[in-house]
Amino acid sequence: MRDLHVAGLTVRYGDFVAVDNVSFDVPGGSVLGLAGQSGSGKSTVARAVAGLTRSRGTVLLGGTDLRRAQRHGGAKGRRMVQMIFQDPTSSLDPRFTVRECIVEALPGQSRGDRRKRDERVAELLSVVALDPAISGLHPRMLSGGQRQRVAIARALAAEPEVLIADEVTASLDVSVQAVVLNLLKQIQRDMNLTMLFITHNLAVVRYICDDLAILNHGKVVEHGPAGQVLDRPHDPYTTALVGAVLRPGSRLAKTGSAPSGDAPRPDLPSAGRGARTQAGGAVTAGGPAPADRAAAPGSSERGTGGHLQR
Amino acid sequence: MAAKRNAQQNSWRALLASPSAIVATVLVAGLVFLAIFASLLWGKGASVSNVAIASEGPSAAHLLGTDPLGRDILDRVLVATRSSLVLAVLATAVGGAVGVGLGMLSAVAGPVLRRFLASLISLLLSFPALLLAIFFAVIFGVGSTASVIAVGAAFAPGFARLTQTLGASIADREFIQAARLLGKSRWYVVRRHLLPNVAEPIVLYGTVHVGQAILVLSGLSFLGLGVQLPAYNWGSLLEQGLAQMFQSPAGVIAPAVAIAVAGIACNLAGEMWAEVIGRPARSSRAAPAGGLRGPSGPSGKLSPATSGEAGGPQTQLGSGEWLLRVEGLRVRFPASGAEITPVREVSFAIRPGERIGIVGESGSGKSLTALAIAGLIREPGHVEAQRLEFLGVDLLRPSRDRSKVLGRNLGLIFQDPGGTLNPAVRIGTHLREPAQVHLGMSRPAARARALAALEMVLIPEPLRRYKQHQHELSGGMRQRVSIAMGLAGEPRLLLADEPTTALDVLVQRDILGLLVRLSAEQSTGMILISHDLAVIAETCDRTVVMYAGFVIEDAHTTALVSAPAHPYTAALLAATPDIARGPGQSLPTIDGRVPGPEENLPGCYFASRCPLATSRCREERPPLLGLDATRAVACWYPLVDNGQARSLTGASQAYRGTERAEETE
Amino acid sequence: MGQITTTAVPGIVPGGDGRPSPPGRRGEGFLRFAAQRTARLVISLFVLITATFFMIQAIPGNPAADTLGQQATKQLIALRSAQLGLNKPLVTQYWDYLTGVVRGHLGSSLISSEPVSTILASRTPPTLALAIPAFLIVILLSVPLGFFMALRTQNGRGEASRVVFVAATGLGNSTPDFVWATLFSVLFVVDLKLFPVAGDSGFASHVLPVAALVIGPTATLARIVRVEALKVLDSEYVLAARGRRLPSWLLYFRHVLPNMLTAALTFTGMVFSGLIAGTVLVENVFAWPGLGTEVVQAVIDKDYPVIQGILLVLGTICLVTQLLVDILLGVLDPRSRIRES
Repeated sequence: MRDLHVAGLTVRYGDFVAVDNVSFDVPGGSVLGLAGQSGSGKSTVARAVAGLTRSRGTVLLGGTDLRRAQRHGGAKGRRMVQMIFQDPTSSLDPRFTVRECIVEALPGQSRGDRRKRDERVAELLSVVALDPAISGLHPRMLSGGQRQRVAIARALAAEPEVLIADEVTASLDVSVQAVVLNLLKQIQRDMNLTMLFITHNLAVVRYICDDLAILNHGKVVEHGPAGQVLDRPHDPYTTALVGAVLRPGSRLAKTGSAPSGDAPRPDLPSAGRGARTQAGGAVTAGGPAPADRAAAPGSSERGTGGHLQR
Repeated sequence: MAAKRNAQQNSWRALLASPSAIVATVLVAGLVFLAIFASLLWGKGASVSNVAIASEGPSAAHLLGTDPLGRDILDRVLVATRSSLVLAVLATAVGGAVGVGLGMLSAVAGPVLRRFLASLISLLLSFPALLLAIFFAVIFGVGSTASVIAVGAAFAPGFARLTQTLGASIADREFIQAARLLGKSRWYVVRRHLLPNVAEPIVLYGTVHVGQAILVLSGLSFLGLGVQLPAYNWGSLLEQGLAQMFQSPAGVIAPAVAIAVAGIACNLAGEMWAEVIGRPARSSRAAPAGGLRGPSGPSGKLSPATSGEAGGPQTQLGSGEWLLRVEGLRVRFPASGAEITPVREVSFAIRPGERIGIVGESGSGKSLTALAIAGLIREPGHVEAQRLEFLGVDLLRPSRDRSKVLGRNLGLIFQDPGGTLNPAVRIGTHLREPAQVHLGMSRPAARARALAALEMVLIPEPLRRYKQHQHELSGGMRQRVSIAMGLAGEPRLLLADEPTTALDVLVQRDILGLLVRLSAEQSTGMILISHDLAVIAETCDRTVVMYAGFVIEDAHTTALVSAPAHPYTAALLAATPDIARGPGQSLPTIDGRVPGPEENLPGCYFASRCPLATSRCREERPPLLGLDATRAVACWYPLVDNGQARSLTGASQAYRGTERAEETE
Repeated sequence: MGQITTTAVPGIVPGGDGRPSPPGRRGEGFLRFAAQRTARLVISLFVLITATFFMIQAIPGNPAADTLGQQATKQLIALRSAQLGLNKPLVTQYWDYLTGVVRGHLGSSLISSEPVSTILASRTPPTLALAIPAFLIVILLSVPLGFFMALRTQNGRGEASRVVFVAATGLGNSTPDFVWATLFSVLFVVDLKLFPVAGDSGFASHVLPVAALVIGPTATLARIVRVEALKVLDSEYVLAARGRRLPSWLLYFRHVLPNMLTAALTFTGMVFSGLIAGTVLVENVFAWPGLGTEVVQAVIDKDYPVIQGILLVLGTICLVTQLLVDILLGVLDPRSRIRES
């Protein structure tokens, strides 16, 4: 699989800069996570790479200009990058059956005769662990998790080199999420796809991604191997973000903080770290540092937190 | 394919039984019949003039009398059906074609052209159809053809606007972008994706507009600007009849009634069709009717839980004064014949100052439980319980005490802060209200209290925010206001349903921290509902796990997280993403799906998905029983037994292939 | 006549405070918004004037000849052409027309030679004397009716009431106003002899025309108000307000009514425009001396200057109404200002 190289990617809507000079590399067959809060530009980056949004900068796939291929390379150029969207309800045409959704995505040569098409559809459905019998159903008869899997099957049907997963589990239940995540991981490994994994939930990043880039207000503030970025972040925004992730085994310090929008925050490029939290509810600025998340004073439960779940 | 056809057949069948549908069908059929056959049957009487019997009143030979040229009025009205209907259909078709074309053009056009078209259409829509028709009548002249064109042109903007709006809403949807990603041409996208999805509403609009067209064309003809003699339609008949009003009123009434009947028929038919189109979407969701509110967080499938039996032993976590006691809570809704029970049996209790979290996925019934406690489930929903008491006041029966205690002492925080705040009402008013209404404070005193509440939730510039409306605040800010509203009375209990799900992770931490701190400072209890176990684990002392409308585990959070007793809890915990989980560690999944609220199972509702399930589990439902003084679980084979914890995989290995002995609890 | 078609109105989310704010709110871009809307009105008026101009130009054949009938001689046709200004270059014609309209010189009737402006001056007040009372009655009837029906039928309750309401309003808005007018004529004038048959002769003569005008729009608007009120009653913020255990009157007055009213307000513009159209028809039933009877006669007579004048007046009334509604909405709901710009 070819490497994906992005340099100086910029997306502007009028005066507003949604993506500001973003650069990263994704070695072929690996997974890059793009994480950040809403408005960070991560989805816009995804759309720019997919060719759905106009952008400036360089996007190369194995050395060739990807965006030119998307614009002028016909259907073949377009299909090189496929995307799975967040909302399973609106990513499938309600009037198409599952089969029609997938067939639409098959490249021209596979269309040939009907039997071959049906075989391919059944094949793809089993890759995403769906019963081929559902191919005659419409999306509204499927659950959210099933629809997402159909969306994955459709993306695979186009035989892409790059797969972009944009917040694909955000609207799913935890147990369904696990199914879809496992599936994505397995498919990516089996087919050696280059993948961009967009998420606002850092908890899943290490599980799926090889590398991780953190975006804030359109800029990449940190980039490196996933484990490294999560365990030893350099950037204060990343630190705050990682520290903010809730975990079943920890306990929140019993302090509130001023609304991040008005107090100095590490997530704004120029701000510094805020004061530490204190027991008894003093006003703080910024989020509590990870070390403060241990036992809250005065808590009534037995023992302190810290037991990790299995 | 078959399933879809069945669904549509069922909806047609159900619909055709309704009286309005029957009336509509009969009328439309009658009109079509007349349009085709009337001139054959009554053409002679309608056109042959016989001045000898001119302008006579109703008689046996001529039921409605004759017109000034001796022609039978009733015959003429019946024969006029064809002209009236056909012209109307033509006019609608013309308007539809032009309008939809314009609308589609605007959907695929560049931004400049689109804006121009939108402005043009808006402008045209400012004028009533009749004025536009008159305008075109001046240009095209009078007569049948001209009036068809005129009315068609008058209808085009309406079609265009509808197409535009529909097209815009579809164009935003992701399946359009997915089609672009496949390299499909714009024309293909319009043809295969845009048009089919807008076709139904447009055809519906067209059907209703045939009725409109009949009315407008009749109006034009009535004014003398439509069909000209010797042709006639209802409108021109009405005009002629009006001139002879005093001599033979029937000449006015007959065409008038005909026009009205045609209008009614088309409207009814249109409504009937609209019902059918709406139906399949509704039936697949099976959401309970009326009174259902419950932002239940992300959902795999919208499948409310089914009913079960009431009753069962209660968990007593020690004695003492109780803030809230829930015993055997059940919520059910009638739904198209059957009954659904999203909350089957819920029992738990809170002491003052305690913070408990209720965790469950979609279909667990957690949000409805909250609504039931808050007294927000209205007919046709039913709330039943052996006991539902807040501060000693019974919540089951509406009473003044109940309203008082809920209004004063319960603070509600919902998921979508933008939705909770009324866009028309200032923030300050929201905050003042509870104090004025429930605490009887004067306006200045309530205002002061409101400002104090804003400060408590750490909103900067409270005075400025006090005067603003909800759309001027960010999501996190709105949620803080929601919390402040919850604190505005004399809250003894805060009930927060997914308070941070819609917020960014940094803001989430802030808000949760705030909730925890406030509850500690004010010694209020808290019920935090979430689908996210991590949220609850970090904030609540105790955790209640709900599944399929039941409480299946109730324990101290740390104990639950380190050693879950119920297999579902264990599986949920294992499937919850953790930032520390590396790529090598597997993410276990739970096969199968939650039983819906319409189902009625004898045994444990988790049995179909549980690796430890035995025949006993499937036949006999385990009640919620105390494992020890601080913990209760509803399972025949809990993973924590006599203080010893087992892992889910370990336990399933131990049971595999062996005879499952009865275990006593 | 059911002119009010419930096409998809762009979703203006309701807003505005419970208490009406004084117009011209300080800041918040209100002045800018009002200026924008007024500019839009000016452009629309310009388009209207241009359209009435081109209306004549677009007539196939020789308009001058048409106005004179079959017997016209060549000289008469040439004279009339000159009278209509049709022999001048197009741009000059247009400019003359435009400046004429702006200054109030609208030409003269081809039939009676009376100045069009005089005709308009005498004919417009009677039309307004029907339209305005009808409009007020429609509002006063449909809003409370729609609201109470919504209260009765929320949550799937009151099925019987709903059926009756839908049937009654269905009958009301399916039957056009001129049909009601003629039926009333027959019933009350011919049979019961209660009201005068034609013309404007005092209060009694207003009753039937106005009654005929209000039925359809009341039915339509009552339905719309009910639907909008149900939407508000079903909303999350009303649920939250119920959760706060507010007394019913406060709930309805402060939390439900303002939102419902702004949603219904967007349709009042349409209602009024529809009433204007309705007067054209109803006037012809009762031989009312207004613009409606005049324009019909003018179209039949091909009296182009009069037609232009009347269409200008009627069109302007519709546009100005639209502007007033927009501004009123802008006052009540700050967000609609941004959305529609």
